[in-house]
Amino acid sequence: MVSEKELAKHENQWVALSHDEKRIVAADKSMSKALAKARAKGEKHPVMHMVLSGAGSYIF
Amino acid sequence: MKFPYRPASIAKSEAFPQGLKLHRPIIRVTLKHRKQTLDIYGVVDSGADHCIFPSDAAQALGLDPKLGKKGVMYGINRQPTEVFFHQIEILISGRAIPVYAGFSDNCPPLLGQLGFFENFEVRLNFKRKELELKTYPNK
Repeated sequence: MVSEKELAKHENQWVALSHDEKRIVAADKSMSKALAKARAKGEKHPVMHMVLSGAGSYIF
Repeated sequence: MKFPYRPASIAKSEAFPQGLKLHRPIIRVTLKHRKQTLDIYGVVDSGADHCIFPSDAAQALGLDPKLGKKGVMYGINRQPTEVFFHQIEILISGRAIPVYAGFSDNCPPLLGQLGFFENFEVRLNFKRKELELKTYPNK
């Protein structure tokens, strides 16, 4: 599992995690671009995760 | 089915001089349309009326988000936002549920009342930092 600290490096971005969620394969502000980058790297079924900003709290 | 919350940190502010460490009910689901699937984390949000996902997710499923049925969604600032609804499936721990899901630009993935809560009894446990889903009888 990728740590919160690692994810926080990609604040306000979409990260594409490997299918087993052990590593970050790609990241981008655009979900489509993060997904495309991950697939280009051979990850056929990445897990997409939006890393929210830690600057403030959220009400969804 | 039990799912651990995910940790989050909030920066220091006047309101919270030490910052905040908290956990959120965010779970992994699989969106499916025909043969296309997308694994994605979504916030379990009892305050959301629908399941809503970013428009990019629709495209990843082979859908043109703008060809969906148009609706309007209001957020905390009460500003209207266009949402386009499509019929998809959401897979959770191997169970497929049909969901009429909304897709909108720049929104976080939200698992709301219709589509998610209507299909599962959701038990949120703040102290254990986990949520539990149970299927309703006859569902």
